[in-house]
Amino acid sequence: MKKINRDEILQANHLACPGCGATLSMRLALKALGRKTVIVIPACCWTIINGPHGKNYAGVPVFHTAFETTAAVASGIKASFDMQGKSDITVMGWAGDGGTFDIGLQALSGAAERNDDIIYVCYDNEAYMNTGIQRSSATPYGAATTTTPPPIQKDRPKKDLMEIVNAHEVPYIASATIAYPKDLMKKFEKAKNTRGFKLIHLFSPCPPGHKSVESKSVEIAKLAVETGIFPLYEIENGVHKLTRKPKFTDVREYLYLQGRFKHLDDKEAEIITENIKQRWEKLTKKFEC
Amino acid sequence: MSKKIVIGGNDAVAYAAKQSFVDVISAYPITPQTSIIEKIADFIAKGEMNTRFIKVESEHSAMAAAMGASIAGGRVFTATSSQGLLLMHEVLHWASGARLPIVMANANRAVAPPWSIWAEQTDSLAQRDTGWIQFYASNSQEAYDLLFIAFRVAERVKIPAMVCMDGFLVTHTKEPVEIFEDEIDDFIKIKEKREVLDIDDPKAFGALAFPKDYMPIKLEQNKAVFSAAEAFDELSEQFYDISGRKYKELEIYGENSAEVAVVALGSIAETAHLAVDVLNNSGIKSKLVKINMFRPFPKKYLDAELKNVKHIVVFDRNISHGKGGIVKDEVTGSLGLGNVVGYVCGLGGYDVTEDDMVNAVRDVLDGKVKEDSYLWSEK
Amino acid sequence: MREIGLHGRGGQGIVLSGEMLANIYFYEGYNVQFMPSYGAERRGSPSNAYVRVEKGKRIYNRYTVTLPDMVVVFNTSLLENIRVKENGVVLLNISGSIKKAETNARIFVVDANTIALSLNLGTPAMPIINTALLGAFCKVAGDYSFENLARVLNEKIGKHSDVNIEAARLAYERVREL
Repeated sequence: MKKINRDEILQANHLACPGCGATLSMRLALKALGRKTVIVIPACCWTIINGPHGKNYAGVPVFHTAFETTAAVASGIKASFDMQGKSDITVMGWAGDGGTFDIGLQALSGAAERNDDIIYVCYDNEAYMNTGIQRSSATPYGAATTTTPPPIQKDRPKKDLMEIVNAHEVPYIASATIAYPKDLMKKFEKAKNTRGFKLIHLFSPCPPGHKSVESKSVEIAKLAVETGIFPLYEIENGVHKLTRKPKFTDVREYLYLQGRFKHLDDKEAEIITENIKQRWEKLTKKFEC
Repeated sequence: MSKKIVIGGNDAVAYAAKQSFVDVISAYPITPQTSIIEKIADFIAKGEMNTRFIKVESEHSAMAAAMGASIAGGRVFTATSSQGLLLMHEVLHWASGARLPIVMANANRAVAPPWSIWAEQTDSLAQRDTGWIQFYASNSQEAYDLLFIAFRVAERVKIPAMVCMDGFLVTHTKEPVEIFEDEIDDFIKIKEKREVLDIDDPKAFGALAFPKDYMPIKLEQNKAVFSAAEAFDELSEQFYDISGRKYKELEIYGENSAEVAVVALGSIAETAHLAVDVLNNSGIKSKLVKINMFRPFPKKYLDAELKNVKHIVVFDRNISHGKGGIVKDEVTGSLGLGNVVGYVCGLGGYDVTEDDMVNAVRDVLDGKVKEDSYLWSEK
Repeated sequence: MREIGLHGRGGQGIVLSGEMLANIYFYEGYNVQFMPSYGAERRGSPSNAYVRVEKGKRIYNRYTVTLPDMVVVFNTSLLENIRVKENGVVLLNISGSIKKAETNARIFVVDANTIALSLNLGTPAMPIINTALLGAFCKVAGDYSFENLARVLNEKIGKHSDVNIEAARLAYERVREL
């Protein structure tokens, strides 16, 4: 069994909240990518986590940029490195769901269509957490946020980011989460060694935003996978491959750990279960192809 | 050996970009900027230009990708116009704040609605507070020359620079332009050292600054923009030694001891030469004060040129709704002068001739026009 | 300073003709300025371009030419909307005969369509006449050499320049004053 490398690039004194999935994700991602990496960070929790003026807890060079510009800035960095003979440096965009699913989607689409040689990572905590938990187009059905307080909780499904990017015919797309660290790192390594545009979609538990217990983040991530809420799979050159088959455990286990779903009753849990079923029916057809 | 060829402002800018050893260009097409990036694509296709051209999906991404390329250490060029420049607005602030010496050509075009593709400077003057150096070229030769100087000034002070030229009246108007062969190489090849993304020295750029840090950083940026004037003086002198063409913050034309000063920038300033000739020939001692560099604002030089002039008339091909002409406002406000009359004119490419300008000046001298006004008569 | 207007329809190469004319005068030692008029262009709609030429002095004028000294008219159907200075010069592309109207302008005519088609330049629906008209204008204006015209056609047209120079030569020979 392959061991996780002990070299820590992310510095321990970062400013994340306890139990932050986005930070554990960065720690693992950097272990996979190594020090020859630069990161573009738009407005998101990581703007804070990486430290204020004068600090850089990521341990590799970081360019903080405007909310909707991540993919375009990363493309520019890569082109510039190439022209200077520095093609061996990995360029990674690291954005939240707001910066990816919403305001940054256009630039993301542009970079994907051009197949620019960057890794675009969306750490998805399913709402605008940094501004205090407002709904985004990645917020799932039924979730409460400060702009969708019950009884006007979100009544639309989450956008399917991976399929949107897949429509651009890029070489590598994957989903991953902190509950499966080796799987996550393997996917980052694959992205690093693939030329062209790569997307990695990370499910990222957020205790303050999901109203969950700090020590439960890994468990929540695991349940997101096992209930079928967050499928772990890859799309390599258009070919879908399931990387972890879920047990499809009761979705209420996942919902009850998070205060953002506490207003939901069994009837609504059933709707969510039905949505999962329908999504998997579509996905399974893709895995079979 | 340099040679003269008949080209327009857009061609001239493309030639200058080609001769400036640009590493990366990121751009999005918009009339009347388009032929700049088409010509550059053509140079690249023919193997005459070793530049990576990122064909972005919007002007917003054009400036964002330009920032990325610049912070990674490359020399970067882009070009836009009007709506495109307005879409970039947020990122323009970012590029300056991040101290990235990007050079951009802007084809000055009116702002919609209603749709207009013709000349007006409201687009770039609305960016005056973004922290960019701003040059205004009145003809194709100036557009060509100022682009080289812009790269050197921008890189010297680590502040981005835009070279503006009026849509069609400069961008597409073809005239003889002296193009270098390789005389400019030694000047333009110098790329000054600056802080960039470096994996051996991992820094974060643009991180959250608390109030105690934010203001000093902004004052430093402001100082850097001001220092562009000094850098321009020095570098344009070097450029003069190579080209024989001298550029200053202001170009003065006409009578030294003038009682009337006509102030303008862009293509109107070109026509204004003729208006000043007419006025002088009719016995009204006049001079043109043509603004080549609008940011940093050439206060010192304007003050010297305008303080002893009885009547100052500013022609603005732009409008700040609810206020008036932007250049007039800046001249008056910055110098504290009371004897300035501004005319808003030529919006959306409407022609302004020397006769229009002469009549406008006469109306001021005759006391018919005492406050800011508009040049408008249907032709 | 002299101002020359070129008037035709979109697709007839008006912009290229203006650029070539500016280059010809430039080689003759003039200061030149070529100002196309851009708008919502489409094939078939009126298209105009203007050239200013001046010996010795810089051209400062940055506005549209409204009353040219000389005009080259690619289609007689456009005549109604074209203005020229008092005692100006008009070069017209005509098919068949035309009667001189009451005007103090000097009118020159040439059948550029026939010349173009005889050399297989373009199609009967859209003959390529701009180079023939530059040849005729060389004769009419009388202040640029055929050599400089040929030089510019070689530079701007490339591999088909020979046949275009021939069109210009024929038009140079055939143009006549009404």
